[in-house]
Amino acid sequence: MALDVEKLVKDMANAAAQALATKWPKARSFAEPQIRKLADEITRIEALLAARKITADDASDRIAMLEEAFQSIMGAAEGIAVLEVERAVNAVLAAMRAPVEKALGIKLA
Amino acid sequence: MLLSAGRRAAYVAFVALAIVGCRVRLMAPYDPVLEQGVTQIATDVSAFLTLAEAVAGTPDSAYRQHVPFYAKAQGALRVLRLRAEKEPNSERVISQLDGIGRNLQRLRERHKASGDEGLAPDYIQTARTGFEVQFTSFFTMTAEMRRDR
Repeated sequence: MALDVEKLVKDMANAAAQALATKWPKARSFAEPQIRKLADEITRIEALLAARKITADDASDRIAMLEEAFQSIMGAAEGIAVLEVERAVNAVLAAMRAPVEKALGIKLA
Repeated sequence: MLLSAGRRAAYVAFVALAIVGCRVRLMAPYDPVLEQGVTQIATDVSAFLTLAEAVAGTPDSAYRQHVPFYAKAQGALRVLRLRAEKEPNSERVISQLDGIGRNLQRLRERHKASGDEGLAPDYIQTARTGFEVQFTSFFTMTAEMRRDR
């Protein structure tokens, strides 16, 4: 049975969303188009295999390359989310700065 | 144990200074040299795949003709990894570099196994997709590291 690329994109995006949980909304705009590129290529490989233009080992080798690329998407998405947390923490610290300076009567470096 | 009012005030002041006086870094700082290095590797990989596609099926596509490309790209990647390693919280950057390195090695082994035939054009398409996604992921993360930090 031929692969349904739309379902594949949806399944991959859902897996990414579940793995990244609350971080997903921020990462989504970057990750989804990249996931689609991978899904399109997986579908093309499946068609080559079905037409016996490539062997199963060859297909497996190619999929391994695309799995590696999927890991890069996930890693970058997670990094982007961590940077958001970093910005939020630093914004809170910056907000605390003025009252603490006032209370202590000193200017922080 | 109860602290005296003076000691408590000093303790609160110390904690406040510790919290407010520093900036939290959960990721390695942005490194323009690293970004330029990966940009160069991305350019070299793209140029190589275009060349490999153009010479497919000719003697110019043989692995032995392209050993310098692999040596240069893998060597450059190793140096960038060493550079990234010296920064704290650089695990995610290193992981991206390692992923690119593993796919470069896959491409190299595939090319080597193909001998004089060279890489098949439809395999090059798979490799191009994989690398483009990886480089896009790296550059997107790097752009965020550069922003407001």
